Amino acid sequence: MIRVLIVDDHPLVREGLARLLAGQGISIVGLAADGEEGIRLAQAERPDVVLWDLAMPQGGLAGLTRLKEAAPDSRVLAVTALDDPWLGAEAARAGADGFLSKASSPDELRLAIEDCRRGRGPFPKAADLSPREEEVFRLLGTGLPNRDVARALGISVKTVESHLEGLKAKLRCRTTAELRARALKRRG
Amino acid sequence: MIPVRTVIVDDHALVREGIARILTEAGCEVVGQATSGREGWRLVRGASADVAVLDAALPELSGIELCRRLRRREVPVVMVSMFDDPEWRAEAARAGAAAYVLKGEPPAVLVDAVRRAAQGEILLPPSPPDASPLTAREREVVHLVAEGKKTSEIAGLLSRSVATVRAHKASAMRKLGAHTTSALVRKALEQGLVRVASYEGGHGHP
Repeated sequence: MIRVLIVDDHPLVREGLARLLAGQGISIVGLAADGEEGIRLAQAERPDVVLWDLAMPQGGLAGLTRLKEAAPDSRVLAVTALDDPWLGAEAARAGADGFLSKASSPDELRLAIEDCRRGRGPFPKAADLSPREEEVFRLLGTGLPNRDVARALGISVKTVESHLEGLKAKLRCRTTAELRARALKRRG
Repeated sequence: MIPVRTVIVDDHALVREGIARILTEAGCEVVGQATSGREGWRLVRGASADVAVLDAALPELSGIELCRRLRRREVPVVMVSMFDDPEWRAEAARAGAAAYVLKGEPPAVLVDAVRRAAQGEILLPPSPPDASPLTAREREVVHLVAEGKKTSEIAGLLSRSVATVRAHKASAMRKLGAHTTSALVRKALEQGLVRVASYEGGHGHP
């Protein structure tokens, strides 16, 4: 039996996840509504794996690090509804043992929990952006037109456009509009 | 009692499957699931459902727009949302939703809303007229622009001509004082005129 603690601020999501997971080798040892309660329950129950929502009060990446300190024996699977190409890597740095999007299937979740328990949960392949591409992407996310992105970085509009092509390929966006939308949506 | 036949539309599979379990456990029958507004529209046209449970912030046709279409087919809609926001509630009511349930509410609230919606009850109070500077159609176009859709794709999704979509977009740009597409999207998101789940999620809990 893998003992799992679910920490998510939305009851509908939390209770739904609990129902999806219970049985078939997994037992739910607790449900928590925020980071603080999650850490308390992790210390008390010592679960094998903690499902940790990355967007909740007293949660996020900082909370994850505190959780790992408070309950070092538990593995942590970070889950998120956010679409951010860097969040997986940041979660790994914060101490997560795995990372999963809420768009994943229940089977993927089960597998991720099993892998996490073994200490090697899934992480998305990090988008391998050059430092310059990262800068361009972050500036796009502020809504600046290409001309201003070029000015801010002291490069030509043509160079910005060629970075956009590289970003589109790496982040698998079909159009520049889609890339811009992705940049804008990146955690505001 | 005949089980309530429901369809669930939510782009996050883990959330959607969880909701499906909650409803099944409560004696409802889940006859279909979809991941986008467009897919949901196809699904509901095919399946005979008593109630549609829609995430408010769907890709490819927002939950609000899908709700509007479903109401024309007299399918009761329960909107499920992360956003505890009176304007969203009001918009759901204007679109004809029977209920607006927060993901922050316990499962029993959703189950109750689905059962009552199936009986034809309307749980949402009537909403005041729209105070938004954009029309519902303009908002829908801007929503799809914010998702990065091309004008031709938006035309296809909304079953409108490319010229009509361009006109809605131009009108929205004029109203918001935006000279570029990116400025339009940024202003619309900042003013909360359109919502994109991931953007909101990031804003809600830093």
